[in-house]
Amino acid sequence: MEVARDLQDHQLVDRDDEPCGRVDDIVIEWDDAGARLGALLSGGGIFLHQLGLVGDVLKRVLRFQSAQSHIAIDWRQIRGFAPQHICLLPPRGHIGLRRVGMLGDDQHLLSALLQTPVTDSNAAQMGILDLRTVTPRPPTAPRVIGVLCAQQPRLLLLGLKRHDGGLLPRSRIDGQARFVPWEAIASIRTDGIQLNCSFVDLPLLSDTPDNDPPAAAQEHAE
Amino acid sequence: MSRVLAVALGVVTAIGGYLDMGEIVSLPALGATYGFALLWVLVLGTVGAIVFAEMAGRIELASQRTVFDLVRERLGARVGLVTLCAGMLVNVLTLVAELAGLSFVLELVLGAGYLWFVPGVALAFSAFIVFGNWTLIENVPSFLGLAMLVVLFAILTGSEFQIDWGEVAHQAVQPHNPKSDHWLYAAGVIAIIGATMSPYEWYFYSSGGREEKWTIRDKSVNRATAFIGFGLGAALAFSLMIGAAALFEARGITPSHFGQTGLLAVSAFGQAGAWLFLLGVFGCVLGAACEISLSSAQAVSQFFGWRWGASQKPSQVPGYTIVSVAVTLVATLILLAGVDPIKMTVIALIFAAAALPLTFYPMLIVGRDRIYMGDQTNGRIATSLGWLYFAALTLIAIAALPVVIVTGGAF
Repeated sequence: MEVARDLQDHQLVDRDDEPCGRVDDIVIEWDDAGARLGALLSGGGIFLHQLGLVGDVLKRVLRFQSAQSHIAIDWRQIRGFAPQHICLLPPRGHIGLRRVGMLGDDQHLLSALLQTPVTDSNAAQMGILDLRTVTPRPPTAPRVIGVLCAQQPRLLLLGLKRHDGGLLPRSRIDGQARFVPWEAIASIRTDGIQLNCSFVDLPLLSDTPDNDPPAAAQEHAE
Repeated sequence: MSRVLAVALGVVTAIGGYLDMGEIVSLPALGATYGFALLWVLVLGTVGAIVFAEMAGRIELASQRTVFDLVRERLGARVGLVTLCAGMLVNVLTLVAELAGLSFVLELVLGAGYLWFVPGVALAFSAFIVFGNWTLIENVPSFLGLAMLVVLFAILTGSEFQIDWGEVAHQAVQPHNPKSDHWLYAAGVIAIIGATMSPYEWYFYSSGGREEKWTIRDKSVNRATAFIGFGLGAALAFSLMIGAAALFEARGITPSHFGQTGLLAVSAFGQAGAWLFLLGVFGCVLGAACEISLSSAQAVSQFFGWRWGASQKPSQVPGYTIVSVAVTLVATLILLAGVDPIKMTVIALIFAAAALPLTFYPMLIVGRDRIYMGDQTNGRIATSLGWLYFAALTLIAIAALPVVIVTGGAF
């Protein structure tokens, strides 16, 4: 699964298939054993957080609770994936609100991670297109297997979130973007990700196996 | 049999719901000023409207996603929010014109100034969209709007209209400017594109597919509604422009109020024509106002992933209900502030043209994506026409603001 492509901004539905928000952001957690996806976050507080300065101003102006808080959905609360939405186990009323809080040192929001520059051992820099995980099988949180990096990702994406269906031919993106395995990451800080190897030693995106969206992967497995 | 009925209903509602205040105001005025010389733009706008309506419907039934589901999924929160804000701005400006149109009809019938009717119209309209169900909201205005066929019958049968149909056909494919002012001509071109291709039409059309629970089996309903319904609906738009060119241009009349456009029907059918024209305008404008108000609520709800639906109780869809009423309230306040609704209509049309590329971009991207569309991806014709229109509309979007500034919202 490519996280920004297949999870972020997708519709959430509750136990009764009623819409209950969108995935506004996702927590990425890591430790010595590797990285995995944390809670899916949804709600006004976390949505405004993504808008930067504009969001901060709006948070001060919009003082009602839904603009200050969000819901955090644990992977144990996810029932499965359909092509057009993510199905949750609890009913709408049982998904509680939380205030937006601070994240730990070993946690990052996906939206922030996608803005973080990646520097290799030769000091060459790239940006992040997306994050790749194993096919998710709730209730287990999917493991992050690597990061898709490219030079000038904003230019490649042209305002879109998906690298595999934009205006540019896919072969052009796959021929220049690199797959960075999680093990190649030496350190993650808010101002940048440092690799322990060179980009040129890493495989091109075209040489790494493609991942289906979760619903399609489930269908294939069945 | 139910499928045949669904197709027939889709076609009839598309015909009756095709026109809005922008078209009713701009097309006769432009016909009176330029004769048949801007018909080619109407042809372009109509083909574009059909191509994107069919595409929006097909995407909805193949991927179960509406336009704003796609905007959010493919453009993300930030760029998607820009699209949402642009669409909402155009919707509010357009709704000002529609509410003014409903009040104008009452002014013509009852005699008092139109502003006196605005609060009552806004209140009754809000009650209609909040408490009416989908079937009522979609069908009642469209069936009333069918009365606008009186203009089409007038120009086909009225002795006042000496129309050279060979010249009409020639000018429909031959762009040229018969006047010396190119800025005003450009404003006319942009206004017609904005009138025939208003963004709310696609938001509402794809959401309508969801309201009616379209599945892949409803391909025929989508195609018939888009091709036949929109095509025949466009005949009403053509009749307004051709009729105005034939009746007004030769006499040097420029209709400044849509009441004067009613002369098209009156000249052929007398007082009965006037009543049918007013009924038709009321139906068309009410239908457009419903579409704009509900499409705003649908767009916001879909963007944030809320529950929505015209047939749901207001308490079950609070966000959706609040947005639909709020949009109406803002449009009403702008109207009561004393803005010129006709000028507002023209400005709305030009900004509508500017907002279109942001709406079509994700549709074109997803339309060729097999993960979303399965075997319903855009064919070569839809892809080529879609990108051609996208390029043209992007140029129009860039040109729109300077044109508004130079012409001051006139054409």
